[in-house]
Amino acid sequence: MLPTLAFPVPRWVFAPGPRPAFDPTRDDDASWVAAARHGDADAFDELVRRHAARLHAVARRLVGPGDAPDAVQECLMTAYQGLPRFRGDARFSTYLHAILVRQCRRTARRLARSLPWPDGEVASGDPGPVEHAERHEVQRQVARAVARLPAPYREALVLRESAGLEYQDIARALGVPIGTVRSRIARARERLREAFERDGVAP
Amino acid sequence: MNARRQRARGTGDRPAGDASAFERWLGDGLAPDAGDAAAGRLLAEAWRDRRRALAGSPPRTTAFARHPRAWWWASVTVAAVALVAVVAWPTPAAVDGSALAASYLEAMGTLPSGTP
Repeated sequence: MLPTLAFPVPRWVFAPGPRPAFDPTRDDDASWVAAARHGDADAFDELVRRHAARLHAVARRLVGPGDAPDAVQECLMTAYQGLPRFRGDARFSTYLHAILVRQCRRTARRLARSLPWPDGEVASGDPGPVEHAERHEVQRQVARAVARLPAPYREALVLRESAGLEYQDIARALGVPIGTVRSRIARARERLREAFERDGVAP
Repeated sequence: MNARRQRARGTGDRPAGDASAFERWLGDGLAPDAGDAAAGRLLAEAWRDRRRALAGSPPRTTAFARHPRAWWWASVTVAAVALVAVVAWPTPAAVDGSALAASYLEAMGTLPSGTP
């Protein structure tokens, strides 16, 4: 939508720059992001399809399984509306997870939730009933312990382990120095190790 | 990403051999699972429907945010207006002070009309 000005401005003044060549053989986010920024909504849908599972995994550990879908949907809406302002300095996954963490913080404040939340559905459809049961049990124990961590430790650890972000990307997403990220993750692991050893469930 | 780093769950900062058994166990417990994958598919479908419903209302952004070229033209316009203002603005020397004073005094009745 062009702005309404008091004097006539030719439309070509506001014409977008040259559209970058879209290379479907490149299996990275950059081409899809470039297409989405130029108005290709299907390209943004493809980005959502790529990242939705990891976003849900992160949101589930930050706000619980009940509120994770809403947090992810709000994150996607914010990301979609803010896409024209995404300059591409960071990876698109970092951009998404930064928005998601802020959304999860808002959700947690709104609900004034006292952690930990009830154990929810953690897995379904894993291959084999024995493996499924073992993995389910591990994830249930880990989820319960992670939910008891202080929020800064939990955010850094979940972005590392559930989203698979690099340390520098976590630092960007959380807006803290990379050294802080390293120390938070190390302390989170140490606290979890102590908790699991105390309960006798660690490997 | 090679297979060795893949075993480190794609984290990439260090190879799997350096990770302790506890960290691998913890990473396995926090990794996205089949439930997340299923939820992700549902979320992607829900998003697609929501986005299509919003298709009539484009993202609330300004043309300046979408089109960097607009900033250039805005800068040129502002510079041109400023240049015209500086060149065409009447300087104090161009104002006829004596004529102003005469008209004021005449209005106040202290100067006879027609006094040069």
